[in-house]
Amino acid sequence: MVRTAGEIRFDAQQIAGRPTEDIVRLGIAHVPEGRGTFTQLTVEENLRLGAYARRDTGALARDFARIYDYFPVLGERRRQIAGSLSGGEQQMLAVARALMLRPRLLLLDEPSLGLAPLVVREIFRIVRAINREERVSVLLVEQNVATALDLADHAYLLETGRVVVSGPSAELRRDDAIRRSYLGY
Amino acid sequence: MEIFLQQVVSGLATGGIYGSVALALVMIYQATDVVNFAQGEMAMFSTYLAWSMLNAGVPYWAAFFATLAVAFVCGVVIERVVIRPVENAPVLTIVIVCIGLLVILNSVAGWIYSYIQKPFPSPFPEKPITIGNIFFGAHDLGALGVTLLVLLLLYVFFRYTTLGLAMRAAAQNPVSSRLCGIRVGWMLALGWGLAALVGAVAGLMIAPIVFLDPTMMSGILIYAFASATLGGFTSPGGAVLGGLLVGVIENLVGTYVKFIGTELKLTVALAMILVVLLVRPSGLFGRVAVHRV
Amino acid sequence: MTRRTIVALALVAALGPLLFAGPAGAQWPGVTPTEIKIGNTNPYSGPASAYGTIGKALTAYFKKVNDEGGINGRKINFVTLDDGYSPPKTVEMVRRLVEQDQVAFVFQTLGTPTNSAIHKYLNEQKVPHLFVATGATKWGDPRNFPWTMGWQPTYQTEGHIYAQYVLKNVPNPKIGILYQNDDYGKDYVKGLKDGLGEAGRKLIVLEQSYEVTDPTIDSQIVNLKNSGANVFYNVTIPKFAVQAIKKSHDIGWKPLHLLNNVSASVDVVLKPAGLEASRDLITALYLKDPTDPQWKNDQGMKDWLAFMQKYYPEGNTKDAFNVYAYTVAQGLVHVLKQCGNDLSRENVMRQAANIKNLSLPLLLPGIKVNTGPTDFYPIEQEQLARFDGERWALFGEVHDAGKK
Repeated sequence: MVRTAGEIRFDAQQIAGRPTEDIVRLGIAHVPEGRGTFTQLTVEENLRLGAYARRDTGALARDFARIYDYFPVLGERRRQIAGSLSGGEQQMLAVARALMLRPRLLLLDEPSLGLAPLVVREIFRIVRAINREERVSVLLVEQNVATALDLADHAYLLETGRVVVSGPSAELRRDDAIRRSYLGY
Repeated sequence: MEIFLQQVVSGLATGGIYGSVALALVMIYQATDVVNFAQGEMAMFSTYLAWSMLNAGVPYWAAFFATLAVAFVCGVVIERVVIRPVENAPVLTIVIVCIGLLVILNSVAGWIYSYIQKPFPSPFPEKPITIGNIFFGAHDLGALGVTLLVLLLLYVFFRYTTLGLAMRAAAQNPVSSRLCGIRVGWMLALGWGLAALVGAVAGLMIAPIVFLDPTMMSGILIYAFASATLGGFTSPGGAVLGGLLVGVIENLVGTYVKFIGTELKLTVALAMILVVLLVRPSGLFGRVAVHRV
Repeated sequence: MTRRTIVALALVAALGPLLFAGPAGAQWPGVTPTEIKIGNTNPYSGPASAYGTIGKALTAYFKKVNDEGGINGRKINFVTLDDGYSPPKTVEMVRRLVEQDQVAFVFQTLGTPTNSAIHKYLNEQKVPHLFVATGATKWGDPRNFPWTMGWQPTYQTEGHIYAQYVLKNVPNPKIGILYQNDDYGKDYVKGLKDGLGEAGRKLIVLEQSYEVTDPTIDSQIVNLKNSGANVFYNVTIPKFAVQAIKKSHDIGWKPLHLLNNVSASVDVVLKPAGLEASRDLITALYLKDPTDPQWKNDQGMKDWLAFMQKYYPEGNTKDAFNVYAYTVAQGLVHVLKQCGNDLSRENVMRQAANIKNLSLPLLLPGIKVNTGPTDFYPIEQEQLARFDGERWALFGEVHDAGKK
């Protein structure tokens, strides 16, 4: 057992130890590592599930349009079984599903894992757009440090579970030690 | 030819029975990934509740819907109280719990209502419908219609309602479902409730044919398993169609294949399960799970 | 558990057989000057638990006997265990009764498969296996199984009676048979065929069977109707008898319908199937049906009702099994009285095989119990009855299969 201490607060509420479903209802959307696709459901059904915890179901149609705008490929395949999508498409679906919640905070767990660089770039472009245009806070965990620092406003560097450095991304990027160890230039 | 047609019609009638119970089995399997061996006894017990109400003078349809409501609630309660504690236990544990439930329900029904069989009314006319020399039992036709109607309602529910979608999601991928804010535990309970309700409909339609007694479902359940396996445990429509197929095949084989005759009819059903499992494990209409990694 | 209790338990386990062996010097197993211990198994649970009421009614009857002073000063200690109608369980229970409880004899164990499982064992142990509750033919075989005796008319006897009736009364009979695919069903079919004789056998146009697990027998009834049969020999247990009566009525098939005695209860079978649909059924009876109004003022029936009210109030007074149990218990009491003070196993068997023209209050008028050293079939008489829409109306004479 890992010893744990401290607390997790969101919007001044203590959320550690609360059931996942309740945390989701506070407006926190989580895109898990491995994407968590409902492989036997269609793309559209996956997206509908993303919006499950929302109360304002009236605005759903508009949100579908918005999502298909961000991810045209999902629009094309919306009647397809999600399990038949490619890895990159499933990652997009995972992000899209999280967005359907209209979250206040989006948690992304290693979205680049196992994807081709071109796909990774595309996904990060969209995440940035969401962050800027939709005013959604994003908490990103990522090993690809260069891309992550490009995207983030504020960064924390963890080594074996401890924060070793933290600060605005621009500052971290200028830090010589970090540049040498993680960015490789 | 006349015998042939008559046997087909009679096979469709019994097949409809198998199909309706198979439908309940598939329901619970889809919603919770559990094969519920107690399904038949739950249906039998619900039918006794309806019988008690009818005996107390409640009109048929009022008793019908009241029974469905009670069955639904009981299904939910059974999941919460009996199944929940072993939810994460190995499959064998759950199977054993279900069998325990079967024995308990059977004995309690026998204790309360005795083992003497009771006639159970049908909402349909008594007179059979005759076309030429072929007769259709009005109840058989009505029961088949009810089964198909239930199937249609379930299809609409699972396909087009958010709750139905959430139930499917919870069965397939509980972790992701929680991340979508779905209360997975309740979805499983709802699944049991719905299956109990579908089972109650089946019981109410079956009792007028086989008469009501605590063991009325034991034989039927075996055929329902054959039907669900044949049609595919993941396909409600397949389960009903599987039931009809089993009913018709069983009758025709019993009538025309002399060395099988009526003595080996059950064997035919079991052989069908075996062949399907060997040749097409997901059933004729079941979906093969697609995974891309 | 402390070590001491374990040691104590081990001691009890070791001494058990001695402790339970009964008082030293007892003349006969299971018998003391004040008690006769009798063993029994019944299905109190499981699919056949409808029969469980027989065990309960027997217990109630022996309570009545004890309240009235017992037999020759001895009270009956009736040890009845649940075997769930499962043969391996019956073996376990009966061994326990014989080896641990040391019963004097075994009485009224119920069921054909269950009794088959203990048939050899009890004969090897030379323990009387009396008045078993099944109608199979094999229980009356004193040469090979001198310790086993049946009670009710055998299924073959009954089949025989139907055959004679058909041959005598139906012009151009074409017989269709529906039977349960096991010893019970086959015994009934054999009885009919034997009764028809070599020449009569070709009168059978179709034989259909079913398994106890079959949900319905619709398909078989359809085939029987299409065979053109004008006599329907219906060898089914109540669950299927109800279906068969209703189905053949529904599809407009009106043969001469012979219903086996196993399912002749008005309340259990004919009422659920529909009294109108049951009209003109024919069966063979040997007991008075408690739901039949013709026995309303019968003294035997009145006594039985009083017994039920006093000793078995939770029992169903419409259930013919309770009449059955009452009657066979009376048969046993007769045997034990006849034994006098010699309750050795040999004498119990000797007296059981020495019943002469015993009338019991709930046997139909004219039917008597008779046994002999080579006749291990106590009841061999039955009378035909036709259902008139309300009750079984007896007709014709009492048939006696013993007089062959």
